[in-house]
Amino acid sequence: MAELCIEDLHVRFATPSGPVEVVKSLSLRMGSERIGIVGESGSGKSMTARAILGLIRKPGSVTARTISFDGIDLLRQSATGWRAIRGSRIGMILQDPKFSLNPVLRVGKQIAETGLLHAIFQRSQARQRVLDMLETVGIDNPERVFDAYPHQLSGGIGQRVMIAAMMIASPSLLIADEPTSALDVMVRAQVLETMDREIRKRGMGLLMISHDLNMVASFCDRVIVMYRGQVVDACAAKDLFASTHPYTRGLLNCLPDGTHPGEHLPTIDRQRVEQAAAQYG
Amino acid sequence: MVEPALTVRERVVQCAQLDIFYGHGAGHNHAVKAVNFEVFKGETFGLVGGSGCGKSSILRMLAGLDGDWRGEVSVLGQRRVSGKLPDQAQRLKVQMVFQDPFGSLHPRHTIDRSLTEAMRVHGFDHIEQRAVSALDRVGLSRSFRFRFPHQLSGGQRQRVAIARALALEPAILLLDEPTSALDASIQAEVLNLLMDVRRDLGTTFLFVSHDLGVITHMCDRVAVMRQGEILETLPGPELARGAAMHPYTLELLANCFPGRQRD
Repeated sequence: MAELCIEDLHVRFATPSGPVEVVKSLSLRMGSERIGIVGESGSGKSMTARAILGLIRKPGSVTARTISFDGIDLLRQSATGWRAIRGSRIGMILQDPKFSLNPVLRVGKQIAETGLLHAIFQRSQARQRVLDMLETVGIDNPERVFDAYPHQLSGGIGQRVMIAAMMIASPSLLIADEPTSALDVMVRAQVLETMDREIRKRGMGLLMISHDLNMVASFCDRVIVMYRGQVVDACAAKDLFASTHPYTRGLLNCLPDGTHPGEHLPTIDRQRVEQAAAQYG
Repeated sequence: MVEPALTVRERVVQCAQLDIFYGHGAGHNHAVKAVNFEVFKGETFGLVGGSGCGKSSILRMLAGLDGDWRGEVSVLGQRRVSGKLPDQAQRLKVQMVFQDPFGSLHPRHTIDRSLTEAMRVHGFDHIEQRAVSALDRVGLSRSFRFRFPHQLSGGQRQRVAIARALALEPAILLLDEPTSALDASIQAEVLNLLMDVRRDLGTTFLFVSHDLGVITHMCDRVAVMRQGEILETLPGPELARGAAMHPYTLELLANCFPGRQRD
């Protein structure tokens, strides 16, 4: 079983007013399970995901005691080394299909690219393999989507295309950075269902990054809560709603659900969170 | 919750057989189809539905931003028919807050300039005083006046957008997904602010969102839309209880509150 192991990860950015640490001493060990990372914008959850795949650009810097996946050291990889890992061992799905697909290439070609690069199939088989994959992710008319350009697809179909492109090289770990936050509620449920089915079928690991606590709780096995670059709370997903950490409670309580219409919503008491975060470390 | 007494209430918005169109030729899109609804003074009326259902189109039409429409609309007693745009007096009374606080403020204008521009256009007096008190109302100190949008967080920008609308003392505020670009924690702060505004100023809200949690928290009555049509209109608390009739609404509820189905 492939295992992702992160010990003491720090991500820093140099700014005119000195270095800013956006991820502070994060440690994580996961196998083929589904882990959710939640937090507000700027909490460092996306930076953690990017650091795993070596996607932090200058002036950012990554330091850690270990980042390894299935025995491969992810801290020291050359460009060639990364090419063999990204997509084939660890896949990543980003928030908005509009910005992650190449606008001037037909969709089918973009999905086939991953498979061809990692020599999963021959060029002659590519079309059939891609059509099969599009069908697997729940696209009714794979032929039309294969020949379409990204701007001709809706958000939901676009995100299914992203999932297809990530699944085609069968990576053993999938990192999904806010995979459904650009979609509306109805489409969101369908896309999540597709992703969940494929992940279970292939026995993959999933690292899901989201600000949506409800979604993460119903979709993951474990949840990690981040605040200002720090892990402040970690628990089994089923215990998330019973968490006593002031920040987790704050995030849960501020969600309106129509049970107390018109009443003031509780907001997060930042001072209490800061105190609790200092204790947790 | 005590139900408000059913007395004769003043209608501030009334739409009859409203159709809205975009584009022409092959790109012609019938975005809103024969929609009827009315909004009473001081209430918050919600429009909810998936993307592309026409909920934002209705707001844009009421604000006078889109002119390709048919039907009959009456806003604050002024009647308009097919394609007619509102006059300046009415534009002043109907203000809009947009979804994306990153796109709705001019990046090279200071907050002060963004706030005061519309007041100058409409010939307000004591503009500086009004700008300060508008910022005060949304919980921003006057030091924000001479900053630029990029120096503000998403929540602060959305507060500025709300302050800009409120400074003009509108009777109706059109809110197009005002919190969907914000974190849940910041969303709660902005929703609290809007509830304070409603309580203090008695402004009528038209609230568009795809989030049933937000809609049921904020709205007295809600219209559920799909593909340009209103499927049903029901009181917010009833929607929150799941007392909906249309299968689409029930599906929407099941997707928004997955936990609640198990009760």
